Amino acid sequence: MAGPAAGRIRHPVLRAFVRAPGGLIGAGLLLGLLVLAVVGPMIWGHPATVTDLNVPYQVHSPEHPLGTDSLGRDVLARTLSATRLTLVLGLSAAAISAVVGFGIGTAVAALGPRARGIGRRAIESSLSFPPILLALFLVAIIGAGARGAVIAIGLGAAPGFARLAENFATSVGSREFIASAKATGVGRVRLMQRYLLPNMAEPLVLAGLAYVAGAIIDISGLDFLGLGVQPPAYDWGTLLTAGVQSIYVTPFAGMAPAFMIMLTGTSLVFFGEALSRALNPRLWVTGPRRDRRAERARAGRAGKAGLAGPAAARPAPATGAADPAGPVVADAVVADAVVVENLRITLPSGGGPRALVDGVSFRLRAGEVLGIVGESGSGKTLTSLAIGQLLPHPLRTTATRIELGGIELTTLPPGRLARVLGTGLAMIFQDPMSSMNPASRAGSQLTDGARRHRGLSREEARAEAVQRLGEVRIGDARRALRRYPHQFSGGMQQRIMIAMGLMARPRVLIADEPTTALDVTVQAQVLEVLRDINASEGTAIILISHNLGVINQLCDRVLVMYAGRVVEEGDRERLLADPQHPYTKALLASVPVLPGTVPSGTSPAAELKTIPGRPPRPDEDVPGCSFAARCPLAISRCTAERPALTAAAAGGKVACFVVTGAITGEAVR
Amino acid sequence: MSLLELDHVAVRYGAGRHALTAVDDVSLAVEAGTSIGIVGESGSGKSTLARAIVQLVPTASGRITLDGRDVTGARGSAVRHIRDRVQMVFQDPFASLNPRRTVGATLAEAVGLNDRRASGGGDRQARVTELLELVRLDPAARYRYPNEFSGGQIQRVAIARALAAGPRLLILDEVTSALDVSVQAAILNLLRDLRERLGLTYLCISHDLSVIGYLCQSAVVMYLGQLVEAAPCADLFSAPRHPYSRSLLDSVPQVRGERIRATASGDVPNPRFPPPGCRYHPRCAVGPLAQPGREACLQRDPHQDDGRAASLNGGPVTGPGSGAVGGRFAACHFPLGAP
Amino acid sequence: MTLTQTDQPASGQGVGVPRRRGVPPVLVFLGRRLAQLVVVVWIVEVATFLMVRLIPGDPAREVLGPRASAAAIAGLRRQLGLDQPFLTQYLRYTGHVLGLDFGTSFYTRLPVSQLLASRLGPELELIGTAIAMVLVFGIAGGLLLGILTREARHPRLESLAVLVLGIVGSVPGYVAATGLAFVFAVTLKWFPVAGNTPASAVVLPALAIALPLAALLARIVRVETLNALAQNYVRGARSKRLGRPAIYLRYVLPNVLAAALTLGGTIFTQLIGSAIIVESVFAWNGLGLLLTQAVLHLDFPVVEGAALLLALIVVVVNTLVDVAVSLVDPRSAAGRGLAVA
Repeated sequence: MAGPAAGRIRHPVLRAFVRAPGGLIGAGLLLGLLVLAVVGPMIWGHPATVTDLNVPYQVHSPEHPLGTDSLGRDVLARTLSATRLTLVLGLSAAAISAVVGFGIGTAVAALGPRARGIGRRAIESSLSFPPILLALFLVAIIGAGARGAVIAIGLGAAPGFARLAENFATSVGSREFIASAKATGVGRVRLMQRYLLPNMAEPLVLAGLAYVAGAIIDISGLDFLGLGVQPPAYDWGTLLTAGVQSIYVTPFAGMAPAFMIMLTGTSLVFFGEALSRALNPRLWVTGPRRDRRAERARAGRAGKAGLAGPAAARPAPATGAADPAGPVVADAVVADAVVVENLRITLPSGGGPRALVDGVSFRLRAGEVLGIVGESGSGKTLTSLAIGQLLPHPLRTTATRIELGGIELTTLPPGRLARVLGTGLAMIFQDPMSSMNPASRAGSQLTDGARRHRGLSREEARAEAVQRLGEVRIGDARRALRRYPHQFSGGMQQRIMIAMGLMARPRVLIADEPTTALDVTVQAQVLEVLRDINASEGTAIILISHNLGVINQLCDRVLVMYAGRVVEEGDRERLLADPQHPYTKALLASVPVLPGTVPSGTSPAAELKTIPGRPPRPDEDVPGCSFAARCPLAISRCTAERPALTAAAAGGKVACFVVTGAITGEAVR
Repeated sequence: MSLLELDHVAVRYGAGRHALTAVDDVSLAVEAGTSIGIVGESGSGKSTLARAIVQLVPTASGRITLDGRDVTGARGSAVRHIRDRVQMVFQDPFASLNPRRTVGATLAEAVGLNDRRASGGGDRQARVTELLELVRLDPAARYRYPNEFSGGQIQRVAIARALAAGPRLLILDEVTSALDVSVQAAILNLLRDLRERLGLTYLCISHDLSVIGYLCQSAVVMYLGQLVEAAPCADLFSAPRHPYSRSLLDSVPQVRGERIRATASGDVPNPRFPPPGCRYHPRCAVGPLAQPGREACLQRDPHQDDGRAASLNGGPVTGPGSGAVGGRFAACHFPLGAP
Repeated sequence: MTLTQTDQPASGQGVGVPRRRGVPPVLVFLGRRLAQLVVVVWIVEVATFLMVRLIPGDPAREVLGPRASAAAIAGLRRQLGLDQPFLTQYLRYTGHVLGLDFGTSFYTRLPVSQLLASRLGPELELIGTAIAMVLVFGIAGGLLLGILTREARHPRLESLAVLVLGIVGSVPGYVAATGLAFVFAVTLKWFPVAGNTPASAVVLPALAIALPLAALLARIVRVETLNALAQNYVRGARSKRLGRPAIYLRYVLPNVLAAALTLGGTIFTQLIGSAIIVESVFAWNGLGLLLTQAVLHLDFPVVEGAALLLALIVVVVNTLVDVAVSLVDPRSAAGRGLAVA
């Protein structure tokens, strides 16, 4: 139902809705119920009231497929025509909850901070009062009957809605576009109408749907107690009550309305979940609904190569010029820290797998610091995740080699893989504030890896953790062990993460934008720590950053990535002073330089170089060089053929026909 | 007469014991047509100061004068006075625009609210086209929603919206921090260009000194809510007076150049509990912890020595006290490079 | 974002949470919650008193029957103190309540405190069992489903889970009760149909109450598990190769619990409401049954007493949940001054 049809739908929300599990079912059912509500009493209303005392408590008959009740009335007809009243009552009660709750909630949210605190506490307290109690009282006061039941249930559930509304109003109200709208001069009324409400509408509507289901159930509960709908009116609740009482005699009489209640609730759930997925772009599923048949056909055509795992495609490493990872170094007695050969990361999708990283090869020598530079979408983070075997689910990796300290990772059984990676590789990620488990203390997080992989006892591990914390310049380490992550600043958290990584005594540390979220003075300290680790322990480091200045601080060699491919590789000093690839050149020329620092040949007053256009999106298939569309040097060959990473005369390697062609004297067409 | 004058402005969150003084007694004068940078790290109060100027947060004390008119705690027509003259562009491009409205609708609204010349719908649409072209976007962009754009493009829309009011002063709060390097370059060029064409005054807030150096003529440095140094950029970057400025500069990793040294020790303290005396003294490389005999740093906050305003036009700075030399200002008992 | 939140005093290390002089934070926190509890209970007391008085109908007439004389009714009203002004009645009532004297039942002439005491035990047994079931099924089920359906691995399982949980969650309490009674008590005879007596009698009513709410909690827990699994700290734990059980138990579960219990806070309030109805189906001698019957008989003192006690139970349960959440989630605890150093 969903696959190809969904592909044709343009509007993203609608498409996500159709794709979400159960969305269409829920919507269809609800539509059916609504139609039934309108049409039901018209068709079955009269037969539902026809009493026939000759056939009470019938279980089943041709005229009465679901049997009859105590007065010989047809159960099926009654059930179907009760739809209208039940839905009307349920919707009315939910509407009361929503309106009253919304009014109170938004009013509280609009108050000043002190009054808001009081208002919030008042709402919380009223939530403690069981709604059913409130409903019982209200019904007793107003009098039994449908009206009383609706008002009672509606008001009873209002505090819950008020809390939701207040939460949403406060959180939307604190978002930045509200502040910027106010700065532009948008008045209060308009702010409410055009800014607050539309952004609150979705979560509130979703909540409202849940309240409808709850209201129907609560009203039927009151019916059961005899306080709800009174005869001769009947809704599912009263039918259910009567049916429950005669359940041993006429089971259908009770099961039919019960089924309808459950059906309504279920369709609301499905509809609600699908709607919430559709409206939240982050939950949009990009991969899974694939066209399996087409995929199989494609796989059959492509043969084993493309989609098969690396085990099927692992030749012995070649020597000499054919080895894309570079010439074998004669004195490589110590295994390289990391070797990556032909790494390709793909995302399965309807139109075939999309390559996010393609043909990446490099090696990190023992004790070396390698920098990987790229902007967003360059694939640098995915590459590091691939080395750590941490890519999230739909992504697939293939590579000729991914080696850590000479051990091929992709063919290891899980136990061995955990041991090799647990002791050989440590990773540090960008946002330190969210990288630690908020629910456990720093000490336990520092020691759990070492205790598991190196067999240390608790005391041994803690002693070592104290030492590591000292190495990363965290004073009073013993106290720090007992603290929770939120009690540290960002800079300290990042240093703790480094210490955590060191606990594994890794030969390789991968740091992915480790200082981007930190203040610049703290960044300097963290970079010094990394430098010390490399110098004293000989830990090889892969430093990933978009900031060329940071790269310059630490790295021996640099890799430049663009749109999932490596475009240049070389020694740091040379590459930064004399970049070869047009992208690298443009990148360097677009970085503003501090006036008064070492002159780079450009005066600060000059305009920064910008790169026209934008990087290719993952779903755009680019046959030739991925930078060609934006490159000032592009020739026709660039858009047709993909340049391989080849040695450049100035040193290092470049993936560019023009640069390497010019150097080797090839004719430029 | 300056375009903007801040007179002992303070901003406080909360009250009593747990109050957080985000901006502590800042005085500053900005002349029309200049471009001033505000540099600082987290807890410095720079963003809060900017928001106080546009009345997004209330000031606890002090006076803000805009184009000759006192606009502290502005209400009614004073708010309009501010809006016509000052607009702000925020850091996170996607968070600052209403995701439910098209770019064109947002711009048209801004025009409608602020541009008295644009009376009817047609006028407004023409103005929207003008604005989009000003920021080098295709006018057809008006029909799209924010989530269909990239970060750099949205930031241009945000700039266009700020310009709709025809302001004289534009406050740029970390406007390129969330962008890729190459995209940042385009925005910086655009901003430079706009300033020349429209004769704007800029107040640029950034933690990135290179951005400040590119866009601004002078800069002030903030630390824990206080102004610690003010100087023309060329002077600030070549010979900073305040040790904190020095450590900031030392910490900036440059693409070509020496390796940086971390000269500030420890972390930025909790703004709720600023150190006594000079707030920077626990981390200062030339302070009491490094050089004995400098107890003044522990006992007296250099700001207490005089209540002066930092004027960044080379004019004389009022008041005696440490570090106020020829148009520059540095709140330090032992400023660097001083005799 | 380059702006970071610092949370430290000048020394550059250590805790930055302000504390009241001398008083351990735990007590401050508990003290505050206790005060809240008292306020809420008082509000409930006033509300109950007022609402009971607003119910139309004359309890004296109800007791004496339709053929009673006006004089007899007036006499009974005077005896029951129903002729006094509201404020007097209220003050008298509150005075008695504070002395744990809830008056005498209009209907049965027994001391209300005695009635309440006799029903309290079974009520707590039922509610306690139901809460345990909700927590175990809801949390374990939700966690398991979250783990299985992470990263949209099994979309069909996800649909099935949402469907089943949706259905079970939309079953009204008394329907579940009847269904369970029919299947397990009447047909299979594994459990008694009604009453409190054998120890196993609590199973069906508790299950009837717990199932729909457990389904609801499982849905919430599943979503929270998916959120937690997407967090950076889980990625960090995976990069340390800690192994799945350790990651789920120590990195995912505590973080899920805090969020789920906060979101599912009203579940416990609903639970008590559901109990009131289910007790009728199973003739379980708890406070709920007492309350329902008392409402029908306009037996004011019993209504007041039972309602007050039930509300008190709700508030206490909610407070316990809040405390549990604070213990599990150190961040929210610190936010409330409950820093654990």
